[in-house]
Order: sequence, then structure tokens, then C-alpha cells
Amino acid sequence: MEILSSIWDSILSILNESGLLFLFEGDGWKNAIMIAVACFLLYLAIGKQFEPLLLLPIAFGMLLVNLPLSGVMDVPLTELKLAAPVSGSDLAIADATEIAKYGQIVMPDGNTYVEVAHSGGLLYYLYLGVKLGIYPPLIFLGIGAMSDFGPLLANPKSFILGAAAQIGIFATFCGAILLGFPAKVAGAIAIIGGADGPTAIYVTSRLAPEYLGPIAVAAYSYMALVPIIQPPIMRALTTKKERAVVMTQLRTVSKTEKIMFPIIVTIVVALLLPSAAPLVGMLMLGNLMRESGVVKRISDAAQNELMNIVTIFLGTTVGATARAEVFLTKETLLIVFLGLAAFCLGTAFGVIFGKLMYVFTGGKVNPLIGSAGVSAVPMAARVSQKVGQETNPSNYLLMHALGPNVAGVIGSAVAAGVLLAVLR
Amino acid sequence: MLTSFTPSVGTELFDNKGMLMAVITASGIVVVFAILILLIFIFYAYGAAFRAVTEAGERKKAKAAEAAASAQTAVITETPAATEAPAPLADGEIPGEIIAVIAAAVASLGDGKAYRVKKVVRSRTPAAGRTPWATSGLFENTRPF
Repeated sequence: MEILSSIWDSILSILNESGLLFLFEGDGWKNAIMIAVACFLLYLAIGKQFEPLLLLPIAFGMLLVNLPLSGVMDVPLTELKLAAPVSGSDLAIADATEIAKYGQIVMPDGNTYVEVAHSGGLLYYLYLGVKLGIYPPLIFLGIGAMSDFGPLLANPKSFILGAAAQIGIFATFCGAILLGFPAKVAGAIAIIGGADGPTAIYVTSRLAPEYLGPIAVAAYSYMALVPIIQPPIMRALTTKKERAVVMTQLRTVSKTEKIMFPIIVTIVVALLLPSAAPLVGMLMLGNLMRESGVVKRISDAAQNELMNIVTIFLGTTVGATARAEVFLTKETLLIVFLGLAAFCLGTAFGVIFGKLMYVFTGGKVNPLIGSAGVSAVPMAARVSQKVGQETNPSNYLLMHALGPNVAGVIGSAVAAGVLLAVLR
Repeated sequence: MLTSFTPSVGTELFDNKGMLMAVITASGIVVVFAILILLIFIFYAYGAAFRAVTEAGERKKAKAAEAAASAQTAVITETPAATEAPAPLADGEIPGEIIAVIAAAVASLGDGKAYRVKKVVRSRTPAAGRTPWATSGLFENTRPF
């Protein structure tokens, strides 16, 4: 009987120290909600395949950090303990192992102490890559190595559409300020309109790191919803005649032109806006590796292994910033709303400028390619293609839309540079 | 110009929301457009210059080839040689092998019916004058979602 009682006591003791009990105490219900949110996002990533490459690690990071006592994001600490008992002191006494490991220090009060180091959680260390602004430029390196800027070079006018779609960022900035957000937070929220996950993370980690979780989740959710959000706006702003425009085939761009492109863009952008240099520079380095054709091995590594590894670290650690106490707030709802507004405005301004180009070119430009200026490569370009084919099934807008699409990547990096230069 | 704004964050200039919104929105849009428009000009000029150089090179090559061809014609005229007759073509211009391949492709539909190739007609695509193969490839690669 005594044995059974001991077993029961030990089971109770384990349960008392488990995270399970914490869920039913104090603010534990918030963690339970966040676990449900994480599971819902996992369902969207796996079941609905919404941006699964990023949503899956983000959702799992969110799940991990909200499991009570998991300690995955614990900050490293140094605990001060007494080397020997001192009357009247509340400090713990270090044991022999700790004294041997960390040594003793004599403080000015005459007592001897031991500084016991507690290491941080796994994701805390991986998160340093976000905090120090390392992962987003590395992702840009991979994106550059995967991107073909040929359509943009064949039709440089596309840069205008890439710039127009960034107006949504600045319009949303005003909205966020009017809703009471501080300037830096407003800048971080507004960048969601760039429809560029790494840029959003980069800017937020520098301007408002405490909002990284909600902003990253909003940015990637909207990017996944591009095929649902954009078409109604595109149809509403264009006529059937405009949507049916068949654009002439793009000229062939030579290899030398493609090689020179990343070098010129880097020089121009980094000279004019140095704060955009990390993002644009890495994007262009990746592209130069691809187009030069002389470093195929590292170009492949940037596109595949590096990109995949950084995506895992970035996604999981960004998800791990979405702790219940940060995520379940009124601000998160406002961020989600403002992010949607930024996305819609970016799309609308892109299409409006596409219409202007339609007018100025005498009907040679299909305004639908303007919506691709919001980045989200290549999803936004494919949406232009899809909506164009609804009106004219023999119309192939994809290559034409890829120009504004990659211009949007450069445009959002430049917009990020402006926000960082002005607000930081 | 931008750096002069930096110390102003949180000071009197930016305590006014209207001023903050106006300054950041205007400077942001102006800078983004200015840089991208500058890139448009650079790449237009660069593309034009590059095309001019390429075309000049091609013209040179074409002239050289033309000169070489005319010299060769002269030689051939002097000593006419028996040229090998081209292989006979089936169905007008299309070689028999191609028709065999087309027939095999049709037969591979695998719906149990027997097919016979009676005529092979070149089809035209409505939009950009692409070949059926190009159209098919485009369709495969651009079919959204």
C-alpha cells in the first residue's frame, strides 16, 4: 500500500511540474488559444497548402513557444548564488559542482559568490539570425539566384509598376498612424503591403521587434491569399477591353545585359539609399551568381540548400516570437486589418498605374500586369496571367507580368530602405 | 536630405501626426519612384547601346558571310559538281519520319480506337503566331494553379 502511495505521489509531482497544469492556471488559457491558432495555421499549411514552406515552420514555432515551460525561447541568464551560507541573505547556495565549474568571486560586500550560467532555449539562439538581420538578406540571396530579370530588362517601363505598388505601403503607414500606432510600429506594419516576407521581417526586426510575430504571420498569410485577394480588385478597376489586351512578345535579352543588370542596380541603389544595400545587395549577388554562369555550384547552393536551411530557421524562430501575451492583443487584430489594407492598396495602385500605361501607350499595355508589382514572386504574376486568360484564353501575360513582379521586389526593398532611413 | 529627418523622430516635427504622415509618405513615394525611374533610364540607355553594338556586329558578320558566299558561288559556277538530291518528302513538305512520329503520338492516346493519319496540316495560333509546340509548352508552364 505504501508503494502505491509513493507511486501516486511521484505521478502527482510530475503532473505538478508539467506544462499541462499551467494551461489551467492564470493566463494559461491564452497559451491554449495560441496552440489552437498554431494548429489552425498548420492545417492551412498542410491541408490547404497556403505558403506551406513558410507557414508550416512558422506555425510549428508558434506551437512550440506556447507550450508552457517548453523554454525554447528562454533568454540565457546568469544567476548569482552564494558560495557559502550568509545569514540574512535570500540567495541560493551554490553546490560543489557549480563552484568547481564557474569559480568564485569576492564581491565588495566581502561575501563570496558564484555566477551560475543558464543557457537559453534553442530557438533563442536561432532567433539571433532574425534579430541581427542575417536571415532575410540570405533569403534574398536565394531569391536573386532563382529570379530571371530578363522580362524586366526587355521592358524597363515595368519598374514604374513595381514602384506604384509600393504606394500602398505609405498609404497604410498613414492609416496606422491615425489608428494610434507609434511611427516605428506603423512603418513595420505598412511594409506588409510590399508582399515580401523577408523584407517585412527585416524591417520589423529593426523598427518594432516586439511585433515580429503578428506582422510575419499577417504578411505570409496575405501572400498565400494573393489568388483570392487580388482578382476582385483587378476586375473592379479594369474594363473587359483593357483586360483583353494582348501584349507584343518581349525582345530577347542577351547574357551580357543580364550579367550587367545586378551590378548596375547594386551600385545605383546602394549609393542612393545605403539602408537598402543589405537586401538589394544580396538579391543582386544571388542574381549575378546565376547569370554569370561561372559559379553554378554556389548558385545552386543559394537556390536550394542555403534557402531551405534559412527558411527553416527563419520560419520557426519568427513563429516562436508569437507568444500568447504578445499575439492575443487588440494590436494584432489591427495589424491584420492594416496588412490587408496595405495589400489591397498596393494591388490597386499597381493596376491604376497599369491603366495609365495603357492610356499613354495607346492600348499596348494590359493593366492587369500592374497588380504583379506587389512582389509575391511568382504568385502575383500568375494571378495576372489567370485573370487575363479569363477574358482572352489565348492571352499569355505571365512573362509581361514577371517584369513588374521582380521590379516589385526591388521596389519593396527600396521602400524598406526609406522607412529604415527615416524612422530608425 | 533623408538623414536630416532621422534625428527629428520623436521631436516636435514628428509630434504632429499630420506632419509625420506627410513627410514620410511624400519622401517615401518620391524616393522609390526616383530610384526606379532612374533605373528605367539607365536600362533603356544601356539596352539601346547594347542593341546598337550587337546589331553593328551582326551586320558586319552578315556582310562577311555574304562576301564569302558570293566567292563560293563563283567557284561552283566554274566547276559544277553533282549535288546530292534531297530525300524524297512524303505529303508535300513533311518527311515520312515526322509523319510516323505523329502517327505514333496519335496511336499512343491509348483509347482503344484505331487511327489513320490522312493529312497533316500546319495549324496557326491566334495570338502571337506561336507554333503548336510553343503554345503547348507555354500552356503547360503557365497554367495557373
